[in-house]
Amino acid sequence: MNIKEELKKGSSAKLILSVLAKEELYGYMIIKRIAERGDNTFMLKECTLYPILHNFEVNGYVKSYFVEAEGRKRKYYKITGRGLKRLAEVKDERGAYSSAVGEVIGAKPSTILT
Amino acid sequence: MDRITDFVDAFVPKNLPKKRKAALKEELSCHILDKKDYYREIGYDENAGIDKAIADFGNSKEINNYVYREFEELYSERSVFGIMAFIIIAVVNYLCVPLDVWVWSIDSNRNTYPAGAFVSFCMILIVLLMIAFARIKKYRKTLISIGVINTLMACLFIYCAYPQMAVCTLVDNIIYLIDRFTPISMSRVRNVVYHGYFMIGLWSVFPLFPALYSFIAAVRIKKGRAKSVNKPKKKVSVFVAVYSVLALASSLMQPVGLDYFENYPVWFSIYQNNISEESQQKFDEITIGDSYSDVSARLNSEGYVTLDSYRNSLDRLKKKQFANSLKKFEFAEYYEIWFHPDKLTDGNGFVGLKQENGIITAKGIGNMEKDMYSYIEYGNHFAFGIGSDYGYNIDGMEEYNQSIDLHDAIEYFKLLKTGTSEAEVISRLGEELGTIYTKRFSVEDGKEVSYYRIYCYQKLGSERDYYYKIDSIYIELTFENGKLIKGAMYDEVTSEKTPTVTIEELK
Repeated sequence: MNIKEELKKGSSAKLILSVLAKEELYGYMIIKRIAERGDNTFMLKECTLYPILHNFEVNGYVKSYFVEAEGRKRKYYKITGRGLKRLAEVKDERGAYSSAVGEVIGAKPSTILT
Repeated sequence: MDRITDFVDAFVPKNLPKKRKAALKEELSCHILDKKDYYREIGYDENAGIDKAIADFGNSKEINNYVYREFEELYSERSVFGIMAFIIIAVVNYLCVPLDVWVWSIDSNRNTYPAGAFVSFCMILIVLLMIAFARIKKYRKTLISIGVINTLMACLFIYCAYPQMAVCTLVDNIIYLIDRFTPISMSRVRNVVYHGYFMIGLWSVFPLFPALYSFIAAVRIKKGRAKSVNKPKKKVSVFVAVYSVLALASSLMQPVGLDYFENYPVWFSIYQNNISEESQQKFDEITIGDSYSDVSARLNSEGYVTLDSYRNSLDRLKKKQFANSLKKFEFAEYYEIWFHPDKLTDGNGFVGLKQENGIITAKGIGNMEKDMYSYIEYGNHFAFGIGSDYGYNIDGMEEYNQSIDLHDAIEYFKLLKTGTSEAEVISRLGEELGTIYTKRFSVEDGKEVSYYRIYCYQKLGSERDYYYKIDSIYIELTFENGKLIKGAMYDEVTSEKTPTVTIEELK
């Protein structure tokens, strides 16, 4: 995986953990929530979402369970304590990164999104 | 629904456990159906909705790169792989016993042999291939399992056999190549290394290397830092080919190196505590006051040569081996050392000549060591034997059966007084109770001076004992005109450089 992909995964991971920190969701709804919250700025693709979700599950950042509804078995994901800790770390990393970028381009800290 | 199933089937790896595969298909199919419902709500028909939902998932390259690979890395490892890896390595290790692929055990050690070395190399290859497989597939638990079994072997909790022959052969080959083709002499290094604790340590530590690599790889996989291996089949094939060639070459070279060291020329051995009849005869033929040129011409005509002239006649390799053989000897000063290259290969085959103005002033035979201590320090008589009743035998055991009661020799020496006749002392100590291994004779200021070194030993414990020990003393005596003037006794056990008892003390 190249740097670009890593960065992409990094921001995607933050988005996914952020929405899961608010509510327990299944894959389709996670994409939907991210799109809604970002006013359709962030359109997460399925081929990005599922590998990240399953990585999170293996690493203990999220837990999953199946819920049967409308004749379908949906897999819900729930953030764990470890996942919340990871989210805080990712936020810090991104914050530091944005500040550094701001320093370089001369932008005021308040104008930089983290 | 068939299209959704076909699509999902394509990117769920086939080698996952059944339950995992079913759960993944369920989850992904559900996602596509939800997405299809969404498209239907905004006006697409059933088929178009499915098409759009599938298209949203990503193109085939993205699916292959992200989804398929990730799922395979995350879920294709099964617990049974780790258990199998553990068992295979343990079985490979223990197969060494019935296959006779071992060098050292608790009560025996043996030489390597080509087929055994090759099998051992193959066993190492099996372990390395399992590590490569687990690393390429990113099977963390399998790597940990491989690491654990190898660590256990290294810690000797499980006896480590599989690398023995290969490690021994490889080290021996390196030693052989250095000794054969460079100016560095390795024969003494080999004596220390081969079958010594160094080698046992080396092959015992060997499994730690694959273990360490496995653990590091497992940690890197866990932290997501392990990169995917590109063209794994090609890389593994190249490695196996190169490794096999080197293993085969090393195995085939094994008998060459072994033969080289087994037939390593040893001109002189320090482990000889007697004087050969051949050199005794030469000693007797030389008279103090003879012309040096006459004596040297006679010795030359009988095949005797000086160390220097012999050394100069040798080629590069032999010169190195000769120097190595001589390294153990520190000869008495001012003596010119002669020997017969074909007949006298032991350390007591030397004839020493001292001359002044072309006249022989002193002669000597035996090991011609400068002093007693350098010989005693080798400590070769601390050797242990093994009783024959236990089904073991060692070369030269019969030799030890001729030992005397050391107490008699010690008591006789302690009662000696200066002035005792040379004939009496030599008859008792040099012939009945011990063996003369160095003799020198000179005439100084009209006085005939005789100098002897005598070795006495006894075997402690009977042949029925599992182990018995050879205990010994060394005596040096100086006579002037046939009368004892000084003497000293050295006890090998104390390893002291100062004599245990001297005649002067007894006077």
